[in-house]
Amino acid sequence: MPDQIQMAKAQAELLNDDAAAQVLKFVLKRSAATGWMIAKELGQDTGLTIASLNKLRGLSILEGDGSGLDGFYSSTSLGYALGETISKLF
Amino acid sequence: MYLILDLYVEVPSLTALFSNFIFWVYWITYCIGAEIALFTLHSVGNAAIKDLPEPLVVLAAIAGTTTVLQSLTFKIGGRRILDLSQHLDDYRREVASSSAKLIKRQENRRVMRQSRQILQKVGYKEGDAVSETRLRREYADVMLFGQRAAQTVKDEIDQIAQDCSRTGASFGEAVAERIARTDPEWVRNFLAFRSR
Repeated sequence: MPDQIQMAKAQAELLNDDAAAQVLKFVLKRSAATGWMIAKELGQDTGLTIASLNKLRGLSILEGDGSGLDGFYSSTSLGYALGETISKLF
Repeated sequence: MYLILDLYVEVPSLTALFSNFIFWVYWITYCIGAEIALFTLHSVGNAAIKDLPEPLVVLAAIAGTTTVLQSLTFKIGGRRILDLSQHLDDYRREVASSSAKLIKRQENRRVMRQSRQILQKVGYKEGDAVSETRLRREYADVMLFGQRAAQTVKDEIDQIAQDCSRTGASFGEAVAERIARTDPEWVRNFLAFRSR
């Protein structure tokens, strides 16, 4: 379960990173998505998608069963909590 | 039913929800609450309630349980002593998160299945230049998106070919898998409509 500090930190990070916020929104919409799916659907540069995925994993917002663009990613409970917030912000 | 609808918005897979143990714990919690509410409504003995049709009483019990569980907070001196709604929200997110993990497994199976179907559709044979060219063309069709240059896509497919010759893996399977991982909707359309 996400604690308040972790939640606040993640929220601040997403407010300053639109690309990562878009990636999270897309993963929440699909429940599970690969990096390639995300890059194609959002029309993002693949380097930017990888950077966003790494950042979101580092913040424990997403978890993946692989690395890079080929892996499947899904949201943690922190990601779902943030999703409720970012849908109001973006 | 309400819980399924509520969670289905975030986790659009009934299989993932129903095969998730913690979903059933969540469901049982609500059921116990609804049973208590129903028992209370029946034992009140109020004539107005007794005259109501049974489905309406059940609906009132469910609505009451949901409302109480989702908003039950007890404060003393402005401090929250008990915040059941927060705990339930956290648990609900845990249900969604663990169901999404199950969807990841389903998606991996989908990738394997679609990869085989793509290879069948293009008539791919290992070492056959014609079918390999066909597969490369489909790969380019899927992977040319956004600002990506044709050369980038060509380099990617060459990289896959190199990796496969180094590891002994099948080039066709690797390319088909990448396609299925990138655009499942494109694959469905390709398998359903395009004739080769």
